[in-house]
Amino acid sequence: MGIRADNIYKIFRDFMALDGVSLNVGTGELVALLGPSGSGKTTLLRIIAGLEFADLGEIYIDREEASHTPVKERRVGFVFQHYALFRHMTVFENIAFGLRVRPKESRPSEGEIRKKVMRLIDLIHLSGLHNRYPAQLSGGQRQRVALARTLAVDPKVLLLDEPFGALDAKVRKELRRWLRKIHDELNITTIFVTHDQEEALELADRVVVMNNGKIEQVGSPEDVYHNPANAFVYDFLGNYNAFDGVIEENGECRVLKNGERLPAGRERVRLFARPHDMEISPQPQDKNAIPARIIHINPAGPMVSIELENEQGKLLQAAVTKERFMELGLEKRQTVYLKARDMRLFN
Amino acid sequence: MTDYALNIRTNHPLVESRTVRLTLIGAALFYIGIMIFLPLVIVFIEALRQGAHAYIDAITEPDALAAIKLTLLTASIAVPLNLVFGLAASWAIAKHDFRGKHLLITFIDLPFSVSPVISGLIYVLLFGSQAALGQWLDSHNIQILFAVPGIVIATIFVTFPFVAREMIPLMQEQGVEEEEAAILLGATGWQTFWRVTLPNVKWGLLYGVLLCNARAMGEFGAVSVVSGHIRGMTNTIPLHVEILYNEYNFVAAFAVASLLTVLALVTLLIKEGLERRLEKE
Repeated sequence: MGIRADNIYKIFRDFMALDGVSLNVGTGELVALLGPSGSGKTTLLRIIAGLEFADLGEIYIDREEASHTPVKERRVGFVFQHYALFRHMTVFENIAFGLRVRPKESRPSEGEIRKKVMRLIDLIHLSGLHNRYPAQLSGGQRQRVALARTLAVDPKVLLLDEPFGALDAKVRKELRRWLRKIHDELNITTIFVTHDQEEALELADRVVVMNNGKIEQVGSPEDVYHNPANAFVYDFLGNYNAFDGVIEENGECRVLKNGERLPAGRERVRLFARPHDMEISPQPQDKNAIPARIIHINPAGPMVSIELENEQGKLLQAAVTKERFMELGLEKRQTVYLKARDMRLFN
Repeated sequence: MTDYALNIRTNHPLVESRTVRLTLIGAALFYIGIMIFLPLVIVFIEALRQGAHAYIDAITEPDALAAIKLTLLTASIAVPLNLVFGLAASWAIAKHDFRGKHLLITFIDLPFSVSPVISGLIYVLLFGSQAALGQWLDSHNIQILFAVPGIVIATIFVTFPFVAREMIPLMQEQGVEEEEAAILLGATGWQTFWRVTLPNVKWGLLYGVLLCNARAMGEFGAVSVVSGHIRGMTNTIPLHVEILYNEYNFVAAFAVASLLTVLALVTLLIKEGLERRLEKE
């Protein structure tokens, strides 16, 4: 049961939230909408759910045009960032809600409801807590109840709006893995919104990078990370160093040296390099090496991250392995030379 | 251990010296005593000045009973109507976006900003025999002014904002996500209202109804203008108190007034309880 968005436009007063967005999500796919706040990702999700209406464009769910289908008939499961659990109902009643509000002829019996709800409570590992109220649960538990509540009505598709945004780092990782597992078991078409690139890259089959109401790139996590389509995607998916550079006559790119004039007739370009692609050496590697002074060293983490300042006082970042760091014997305030192993140029 | 705790307390940057504290607390207590506590006590002292017998006589004589009945009748019509209206208005304002929303909020607040006497006067001008509507009603033998309907209408107007004012901030704070979740799970608008919106605000709603009721029973100004002060017919409790007082019948006046005072005290008590529940909501 796929989802297709066709040329969606949405304007809030004088703000263009979605500027002609088209997206195709295949059956059983797990897709991340990734972007900074204000990029339109949540608006797109809410339009698919039917909580907002597009000014222009169509939404197809399961190949059916759904733009005019009322929310309650779309059979879309939606999980909110702040859970939106019914605060006056127990865990059991929250999960049973979608079954209880069905019209008499399609409503399951009390026994069936009980069986289904208890099975879902098992699935979210909250056995024994069915009589708790939302206020008595932790954030991670609440979000799992919210997901179970949605799954109780057998949704055709699952939409999650920053589902782990309000949780702390450890719980977030745990729930991520757990969501992946549930998705793989139920094989339900899922779209989730996030501003956390790590979350998107780790969890999704495909990542949709959004900015200013437009889609910048769609691709596998590997693809968007290693082959970013433009400077925005590159920037959004990680830290980077930017340099003024020039294209040589032989077509090669080179970083301009401190104070170097742009050779006549050449175009100035911006070159980008990830911190882990920066090579550090106490001696200049070649004539293009950039001198810089170490201003901060953070050895906590799998890589040692180093912050440096070049001669103009511009901040540069580098990351080296622990072994390399020890080998070089780097220290704060030391002057070293940087060279990028891999650089990118965007038009 | 206790010395240590005391030390911390007096060294706290926000704690003033003993003299300042005692002076401020004393001034506050003195003010509350003179302005609030003393009048409250005097109502009961005056009411019981000639003994329990005179007190009971004063509140059981036919005119007093008629006034009590009328007050209860008025409140029992005005409060439910304002409950329904207030709930509908606050639901519309807090959970939906529409043109003219701010205008509606201003209108709901109007009875708070207009003097009750003026509100009464508006109905005299509207339903009086010099107005077109009044003449039409006259010709159809419908009596509004100087009769029970006028009193009820004036009371509704004055107590109009209580429920809505209590509910709007509460509903706004709760947002619309739970309602959205309910609709997404397949609930109808009606089911969403009864199963999600209403249970979430029930204590706030009771609180608003309580304040609305207290005001409905105690309203003097607006009702005074439209009632016509017909003893045993169009006198509510506050109007009855005024008549007794003007007749220098102080014991009876205070006896009947003590009923409203008791109402006020009971209201306060329930209000305390509700506020505690509300904090949980």
